[in-house]
Amino acid sequence: MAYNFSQNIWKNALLSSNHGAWALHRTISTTPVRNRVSVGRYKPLEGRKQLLTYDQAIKPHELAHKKSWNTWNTSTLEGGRRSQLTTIEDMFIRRFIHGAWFCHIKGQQIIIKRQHNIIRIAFCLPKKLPPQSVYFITGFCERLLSIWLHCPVKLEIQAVENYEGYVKIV
Amino acid sequence: MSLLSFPKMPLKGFKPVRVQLVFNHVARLASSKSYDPKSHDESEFRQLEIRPVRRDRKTSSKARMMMPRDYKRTNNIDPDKADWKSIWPGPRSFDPNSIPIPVRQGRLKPYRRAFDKYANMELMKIPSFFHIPPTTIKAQCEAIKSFCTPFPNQLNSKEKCEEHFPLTVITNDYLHSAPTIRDPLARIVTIKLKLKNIPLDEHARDKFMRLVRDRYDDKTDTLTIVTDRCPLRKQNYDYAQYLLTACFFESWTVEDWESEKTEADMEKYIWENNISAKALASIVKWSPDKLGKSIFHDTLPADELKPEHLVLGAAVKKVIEGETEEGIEEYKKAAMEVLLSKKAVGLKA
Amino acid sequence: MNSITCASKTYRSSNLQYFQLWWSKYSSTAAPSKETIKIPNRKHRGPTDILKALETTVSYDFTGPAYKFFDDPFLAPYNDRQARMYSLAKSAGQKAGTWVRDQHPELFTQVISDPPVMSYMPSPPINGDNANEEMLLQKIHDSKVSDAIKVYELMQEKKMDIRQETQLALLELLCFYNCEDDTPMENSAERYYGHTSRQGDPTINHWKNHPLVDSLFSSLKSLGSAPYCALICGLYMYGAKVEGDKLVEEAKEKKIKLDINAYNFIIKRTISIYDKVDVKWQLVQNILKEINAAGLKPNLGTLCYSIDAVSRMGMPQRYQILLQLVAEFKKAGVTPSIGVYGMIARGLVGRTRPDANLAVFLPSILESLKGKELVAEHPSDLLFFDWILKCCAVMEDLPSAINGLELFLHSRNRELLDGYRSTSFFNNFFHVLSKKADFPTLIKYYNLLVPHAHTPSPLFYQVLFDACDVHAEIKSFPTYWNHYMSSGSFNEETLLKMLEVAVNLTGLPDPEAIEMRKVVSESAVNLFLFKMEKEKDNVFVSIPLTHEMCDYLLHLFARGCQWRTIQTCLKFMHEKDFIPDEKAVSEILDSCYDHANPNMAVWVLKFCNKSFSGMESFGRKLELREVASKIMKADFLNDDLKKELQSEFEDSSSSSDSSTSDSESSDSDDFSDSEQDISVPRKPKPDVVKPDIKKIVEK
Repeated sequence: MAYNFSQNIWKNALLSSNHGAWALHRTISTTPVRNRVSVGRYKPLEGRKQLLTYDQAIKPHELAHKKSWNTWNTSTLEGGRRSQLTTIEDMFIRRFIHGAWFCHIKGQQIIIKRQHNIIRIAFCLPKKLPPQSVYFITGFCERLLSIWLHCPVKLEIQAVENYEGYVKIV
Repeated sequence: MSLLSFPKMPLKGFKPVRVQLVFNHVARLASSKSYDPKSHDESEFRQLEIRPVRRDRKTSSKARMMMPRDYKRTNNIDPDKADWKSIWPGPRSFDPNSIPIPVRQGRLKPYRRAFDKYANMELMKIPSFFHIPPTTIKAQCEAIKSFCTPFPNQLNSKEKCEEHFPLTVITNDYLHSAPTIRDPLARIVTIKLKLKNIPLDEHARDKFMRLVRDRYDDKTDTLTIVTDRCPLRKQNYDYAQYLLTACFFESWTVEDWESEKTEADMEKYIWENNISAKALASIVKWSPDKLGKSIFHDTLPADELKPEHLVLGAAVKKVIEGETEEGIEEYKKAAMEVLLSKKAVGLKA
Repeated sequence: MNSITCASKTYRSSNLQYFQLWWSKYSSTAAPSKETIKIPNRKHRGPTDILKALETTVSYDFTGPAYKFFDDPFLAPYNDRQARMYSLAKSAGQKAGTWVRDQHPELFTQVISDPPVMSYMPSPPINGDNANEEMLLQKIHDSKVSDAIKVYELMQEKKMDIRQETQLALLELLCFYNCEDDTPMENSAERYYGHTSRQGDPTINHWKNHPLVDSLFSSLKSLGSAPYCALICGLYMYGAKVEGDKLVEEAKEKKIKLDINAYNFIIKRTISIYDKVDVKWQLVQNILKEINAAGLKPNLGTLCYSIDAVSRMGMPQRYQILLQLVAEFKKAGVTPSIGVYGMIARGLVGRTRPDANLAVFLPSILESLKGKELVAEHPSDLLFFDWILKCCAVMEDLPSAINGLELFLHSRNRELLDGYRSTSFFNNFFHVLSKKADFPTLIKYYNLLVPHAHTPSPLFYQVLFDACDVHAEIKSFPTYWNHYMSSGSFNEETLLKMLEVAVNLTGLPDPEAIEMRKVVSESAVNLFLFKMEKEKDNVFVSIPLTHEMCDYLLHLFARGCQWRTIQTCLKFMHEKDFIPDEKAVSEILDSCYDHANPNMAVWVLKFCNKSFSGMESFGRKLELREVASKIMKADFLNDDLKKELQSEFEDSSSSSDSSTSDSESSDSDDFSDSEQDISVPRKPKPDVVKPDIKKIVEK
């Protein structure tokens, strides 16, 4: 950053000697907006089809019409506080849960609901792990997340079959 | 992952084998019936499988069926007798296995049936009120009734409440979904009071108005004081109390310099203090011996003022505050009444 | 989600007096005479009182697993063992999380909660710089034994002086916990399922002779009574009798006054004296007199330990003595806790035969406690329910057992038992139930408690299945089958009984029974395949399939039309050299006829003819042939099958004279290779009269 800045000054100093006005114009540059929205829109994978859950099958612009949000808290309401911190924490929770459950989570969809100081995390889990492992990881996640977030954390897991929960093939 | 897959033969590789496995192997050899020589042929080469074929796992899944994992709470719930508040005691996400009603949500195409409750994440997203159905609320209210005290029955109407408790204090508590219970807005304290509830005479009221300015609403006769300059609610409340008290006592005090107030300092027209009232007094009290002397007397004392004088005063005030045709007309009428009416003439005679 | 709840509080301030003062001062007209309004005082409540009140609305729910488990068919526990495993697994996960935090306290320094939640934060490390007396006191208060020892040692290294009171507190802590850390409070699963008593068996010496205790004690000896009492309590609590006796002698020599707790443990020590009953009773009396002479006020511990000591003595007049003791203590102002009643009941049961008074005592105690919320005041209270139900089991007293169960389920009383003891509690209850209860009562309590509160033993299931058989309980039998299968503890006799009852019930001429056939046969298939897999894998099977079981299973398969499994089962029986029962085979043929599956019938006949010919039962084979000829007479089989069957029987009859075991193996190979699918009937059922196979077989 600092390097670029000093370089610009150096350039400006060089250019301003002859074409001062031109050099000023060059400092602000704009690029045309590229309206390529790809987030939350699923396409067939290379060489094979993709199974989508309901949440993935519905496009982001239909949010609040056909599907609801994965995160529920008060920070984005009018007068809500600590919206930045909550968002960062949610990202952290998603990544942590995703890693702790060995990426088993159906549709990579983790619902985080905050109510007062309780955080409830809900997701669907295929019946791959034996129940005692599920309980071990549950205890581990709950304890570690509550140590980090200073809130009681509860996991709400629904065990589903491997094929369950997919509604669309692209 | 190695591409080599070994045939199931525990003794073949030079691996340390557990005693149990050796025993199994021996047992298998001994019972020629259960030992299938085809799959473990001694002369067979180890195969190199380029794409390893998955072993059929069907049998193991059947073996697991010994213990049927088919419990569902919905099967055990008798809707007539079920004690729902102990089945669902606190807030929880939707759970298809314990909610004994068919629910559907979410469809991809119109005229298709919505997806059912199993593995339906949309239902899990929605904040539900399964933990507080009316029966639970009733039971919980019963449970915390022991902490309540009865409302005093003398205060049966709103007027009585206002009469006995004129001061209203408003504070706000905020509950965010966050690990902290603090909110800076919670410090603000609002005090409301109807001015009719505090004793003020004219001077005091006038001074009070000057002190509180726009905090007084004359439509509802309410004084509102909002304090938010201290960091704590307690401090703000004390400050509001202090402000109210200070304003009140200040309004009753009469300073020495207040007597120096002249007609020019007046903020509104008061007929009794003005030249019109003095002129009226001189007319009313006029006698021939006062001829040639100043006609400006002191105003009439309150007990000598007659109704028509007061009417005149009101008319004069109206004219001075805003001159209109009707006002002039009224003024004329009142003046005629005072000066030229038969009663007045008769009195003079 | 509750949005930001903006609870607006509006209240009217009651500074009426204040305004009246103003009024009288500034207003010419006097204030109007106002009626005085009495506002009731705020009822005092603690920070969690409302939550506790709300909790009382929630009762014990038996429709599903406990709240700590997921309410999901895949994740819910199906028996006690699974429940224990799952909750311990969860607690192990939590411990792992805590361990991560304690290993890396530098990563968990952020404080985002306000007010800060200290239990989420790592405890500050103990080192020479921060060790001080305040910290030591805090550790003692939190009963963290190893931390307290560490702090004390660090302080001694730095030669800081510690007040004698603090040293005494540390000594008491060490004596109470025997110098080792207790399971932490937050680890509730481990506390629930863990070792029941920290003190263990009083006859064994558990006392850890930590050097710190000796050094502390010798430095505190000058204080007199308190250190002696603490050490005596600790020594006796952990079974160090010899050392304890020495110390008591020493205290008596030095004329040190012991406090009541020390005397309690001296009473407790008499339990492990090996002497005559009269001598022991005299000893207890002497100690009680000594307490009286010392002018000490007895407490609940004194009562509990003396009752404990007396109830262990098998005196003939124990009931009177126990009641007298309780009455005297009541006079002295000690109300007995529930543990006292439990110990009296235990004392009355005795080792050999129960006291006659127990029949009076037990119902009356349960009657007086009915509908009460019990509170634990003494460690022995935690054994009350267990002992009461043990007595009920010995007496086989059903009404008392039911009363005991109701008391246990009332409000929060179930918290008085831990994992192991509640298992034994329910076991005793079910024992009484199986011995004394009539069928509706049995079913009622079974349906209430199983499977989520308790998993009964196989012996109970045997009784239950028997009762089902007698009372023809067809409807709920499949449920009981499933419960037994998921209970995880099997017994050969019970399994056999279950299959027998299943055969009996499905054979009943009842539309319900016929409906049930399908369900039961599917469960039977599961059971059979499970056992088969186990045998195939050469895993040690504790209860292998026996000949009888296979016969019963064949019956069930035949009734549920499980053709493929019948084939598997017959092959399995052939491997094991079991000869199928004639009734079972005829049941299969019957079923084949009913469901129009001639191929299956032919297969079964052929298989039985070939495979079981080598055995000793030659007459059986003849019978089979007879059955076959009967079947062939009817229009049930088409020509091809008839021919096939005929040729088969001719072959075997020609070779039967010389048939030996060598033909058997080749036969079995033939059948194992032929994997034709005959599970689906090919031909519709012909309208012919059914040949009476049963009669033929019975000949």
